[in-house]
Amino acid sequence: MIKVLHSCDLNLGAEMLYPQAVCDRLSQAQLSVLDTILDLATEHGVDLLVFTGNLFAHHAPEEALREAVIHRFKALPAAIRLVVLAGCYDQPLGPDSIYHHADFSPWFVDSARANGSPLNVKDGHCPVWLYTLPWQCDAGDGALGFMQRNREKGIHLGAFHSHKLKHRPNPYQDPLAHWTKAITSWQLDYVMVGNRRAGQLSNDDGQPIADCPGAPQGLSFQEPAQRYCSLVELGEAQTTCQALPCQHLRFEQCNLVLDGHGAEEKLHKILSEKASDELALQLKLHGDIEELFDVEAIAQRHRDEFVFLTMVDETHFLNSDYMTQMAQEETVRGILCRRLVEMAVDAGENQRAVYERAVRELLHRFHAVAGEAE
Amino acid sequence: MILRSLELSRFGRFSDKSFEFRRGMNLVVGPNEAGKSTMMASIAAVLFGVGDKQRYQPWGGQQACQASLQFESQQRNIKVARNILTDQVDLFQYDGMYQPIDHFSAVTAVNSHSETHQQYATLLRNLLGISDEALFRATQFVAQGEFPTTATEFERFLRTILSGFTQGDSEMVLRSLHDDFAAVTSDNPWSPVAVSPRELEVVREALQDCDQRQRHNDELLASLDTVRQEIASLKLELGEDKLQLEEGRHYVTWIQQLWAQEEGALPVSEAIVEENSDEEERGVAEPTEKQQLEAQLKGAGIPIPVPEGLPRLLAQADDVRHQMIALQSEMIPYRDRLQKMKHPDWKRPLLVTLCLAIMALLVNAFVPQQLLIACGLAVAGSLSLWGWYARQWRKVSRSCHGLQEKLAALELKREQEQQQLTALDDEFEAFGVASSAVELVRIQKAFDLHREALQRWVVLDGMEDEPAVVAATQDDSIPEQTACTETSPASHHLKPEELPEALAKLDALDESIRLREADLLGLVRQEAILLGRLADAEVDARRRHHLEQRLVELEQKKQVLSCAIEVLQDSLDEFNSSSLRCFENRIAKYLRKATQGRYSAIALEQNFSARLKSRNGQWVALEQLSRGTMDAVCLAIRLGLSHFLVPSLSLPFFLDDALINLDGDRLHESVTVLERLSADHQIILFSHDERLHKIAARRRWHVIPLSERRSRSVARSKEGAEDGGQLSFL
Repeated sequence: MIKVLHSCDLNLGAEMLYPQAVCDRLSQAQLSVLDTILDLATEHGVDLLVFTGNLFAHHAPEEALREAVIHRFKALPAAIRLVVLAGCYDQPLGPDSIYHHADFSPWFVDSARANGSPLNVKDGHCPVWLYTLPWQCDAGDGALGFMQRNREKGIHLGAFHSHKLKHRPNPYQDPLAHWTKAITSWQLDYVMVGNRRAGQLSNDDGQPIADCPGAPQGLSFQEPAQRYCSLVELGEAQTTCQALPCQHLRFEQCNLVLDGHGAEEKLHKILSEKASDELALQLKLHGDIEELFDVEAIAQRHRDEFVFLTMVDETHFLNSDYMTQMAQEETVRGILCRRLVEMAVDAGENQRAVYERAVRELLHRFHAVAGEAE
Repeated sequence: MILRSLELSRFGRFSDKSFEFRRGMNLVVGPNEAGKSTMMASIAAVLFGVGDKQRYQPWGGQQACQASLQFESQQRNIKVARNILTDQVDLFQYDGMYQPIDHFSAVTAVNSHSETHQQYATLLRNLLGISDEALFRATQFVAQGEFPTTATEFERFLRTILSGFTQGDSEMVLRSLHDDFAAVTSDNPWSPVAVSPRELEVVREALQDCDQRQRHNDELLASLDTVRQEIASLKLELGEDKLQLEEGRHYVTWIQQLWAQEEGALPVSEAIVEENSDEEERGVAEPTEKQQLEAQLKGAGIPIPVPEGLPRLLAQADDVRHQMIALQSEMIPYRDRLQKMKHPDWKRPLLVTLCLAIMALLVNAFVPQQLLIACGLAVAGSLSLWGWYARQWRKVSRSCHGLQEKLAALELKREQEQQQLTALDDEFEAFGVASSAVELVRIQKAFDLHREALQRWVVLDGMEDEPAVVAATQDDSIPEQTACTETSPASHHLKPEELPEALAKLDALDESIRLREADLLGLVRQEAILLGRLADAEVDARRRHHLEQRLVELEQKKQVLSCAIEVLQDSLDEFNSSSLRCFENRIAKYLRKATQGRYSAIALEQNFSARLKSRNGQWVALEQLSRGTMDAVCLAIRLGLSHFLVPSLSLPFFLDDALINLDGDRLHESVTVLERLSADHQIILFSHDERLHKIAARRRWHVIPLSERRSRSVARSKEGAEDGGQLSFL
């Protein structure tokens, strides 16, 4: 019986395209998530803690970050065996790789150094073996030599980072899509997979044979769901896998329909209701509005209430009464409103979106948007 | 339409005051701080509300600050009342006899987005023609210093007012759009001037670089895969060869010992007995492991001993099966296409032919003289239709035939493969192995999985029986090796004269292993180099992702800006070509009146520069006009625009000390112009100018005096401070 906690793709020190304050919050959150994972490992008394790749987002992260992580790892109870694998970002090549640092040598597992033989994680009556893949190894025949179970006795675990296989399509973004066959053929008891996205593979009895918990902290709006790390208990006959929540900041995408008048007030109300300092929110605005509003100004007003706030304006204004009335004027603005309304009638969805943005662009420049005239 | 009255209740300095106005010229006169500007501001405040609610609230007053306007026309009278603090608006409509027609009541704050505000704005537009405060101020209101003094100012004023956006000038907007567009891309369809690459082009180039690097990385990855496969197969090969070399050397040592024993007069039989006894001892020690291995291998479904040629047969069967699957996959699309092919429908041409025949019969019945033509047309139509039908039929038939031929060829190949498979199945059965595909795949997999165990079993088996003869040729198949060992008879032992040859072969194998080990080292180095080169691949991928995102944004921005520029440019063109002439006519009407026919027409160019047509038919540029004439033109334009926007109504015109800076002559000129215009529009002047007061008295205008003493008796308001500012300005 062995208890294993595994996680991956924490991407410490990742470069992000957010404003600096948001980047700082996210970096803090990443370290807090690492703390949570280490606390969970201690709390559940695991035998083995595995980071299956991309613990760092760069092969040579900043010294302060490196020291912070080393300090945390050193504080782990001695009973917990820590294993760190390289991912696609924190690749182990080059003399400046963090994994060449002396402090990391007890934890980092380099398949090339181990000459492909599995790592003996635990001795005794029921030994535990850990098989790992070399960096950038494909799912094909090459993997077999490193991952094939080579004896009956003991518990045989596999761990690798499932990098993107560019020449193979993966429309559902399933991290195990191209590895399922290989994993099954390895005949290991349980395989820990690293990838930003989550996925699980079970045998015919419904027992998990491979699991990828995904990144424990979302870093973009493409990662909106709750994030986990995986706690696995492997016995002689049974394997149980439990997802433990560990994320600190939440990314959420919302669709908001704003129809008719008072859209701006409604938007303010929704934003006030959703305000949370642990939430990064992306609002997609839809609906037929009657007055234009400055989305950026509204976002600016509520920005401090969220970790990050962004809004995508997909509302329709060309159908509004305002446009219809203005189109009756015999002024330049009257004519241009008339033209845009007419052009939008038979336009496709994409072209219509262009007209919608064009009318906003024009009205903003003429300072005709509500609230700007003052 | 005229403004009949203005009532102010606790509005600024007016505690409770009502003012009456008349048609024609009206002058509200009073010293500074008397409340003229407050009065004028109250008009817009009633109609549109005010943002700063406290501005007109008297000091210390807690009661409602209210104002109301009453407009009068021949058909309809309108009263608008607003509580400035609460923005409660009441709009009453009466008929010509002051009988109520309608009443609208709502709370509509300034810049409100509510539905009621929209209703109110619609009412204002229908009744007064204007619902836009900015536009109202730009046309009906003239404050101090608002008359343009230069031609450039005049053009700008004209562009702004005609664009409809009173805060923006259409040309400036167009220029800003062009500037932004040029910042995105150098691709400018409106200008032939070439500029250096902009952000879009830079991003595109960077993406092309990324593509190149991506291709390079893909090639490196492919090479890495190949190198890794080579390393794996070489390692396997070397492992087997090393084992064979070791066995061969062991055998040579053993056979040399045997010969030495023979030469030492030991009877061969004894030596063999001794050797056998040794073997027996070993056999006693080792059967447990061998038995275990046998059990393991049998358990895995591998026949022990392994029949010679079984691995070869397995490989052949696998090849044939793959070939058959490939053929099957190739046939599927052909079959689908064949099924989807349909011959054209014969019923439709037949129906059309019948219709044509019926038509010919009808022609015969009703217009017999046209029968020949009708028959000719019917026959021609039918023939062309059936001709088309025959062509379609032939085309489909040819395609079907082609597909069937291809399918038949593939089917033939498949049958050949099937026959080969049947022959192989017979051979399998001869070995006592079930020939089902599942069983064969299972055995093949078992071979792969238990390679190590088999190897060990071969060694043990060889030691138990007799050392195997080292094969002259290198055979890398373990099962075959096993078979070879199994079938080697004792008489095949090495003879002393064959020893040099065997040793030479062993040396050659040793040399070959050494060379391949060097190759392996080279491949491992190559792998390390490739990995090193791939180290930056992910950084490239991330950069590429960012660039792609930026490219999409820039493309969208380019599209939007291009669309905005085109729409605005087209709108300006349309305005210039259609509405501008109409506008010119409206202005000309007021211009003639204002200048007593000195100037009869105005020509506005596309850039809004203006010229006036003088009495002698010459066109005069604005720069050549006197300031007095310029003021008259400006008034004419405001009134012209007002009439242009609201053609059905002649709205009142408000001037707040607009003439204060004019000298005596120019003041007289402007007043005369206003008097002429007052025939169509009610004019309400707010002024503290004594000169104007005298003119008003002389010309019998309606004068509303605002007393300084009275105004001082009411509570001072914050507005007073502003009027104070106006005093210092004067």
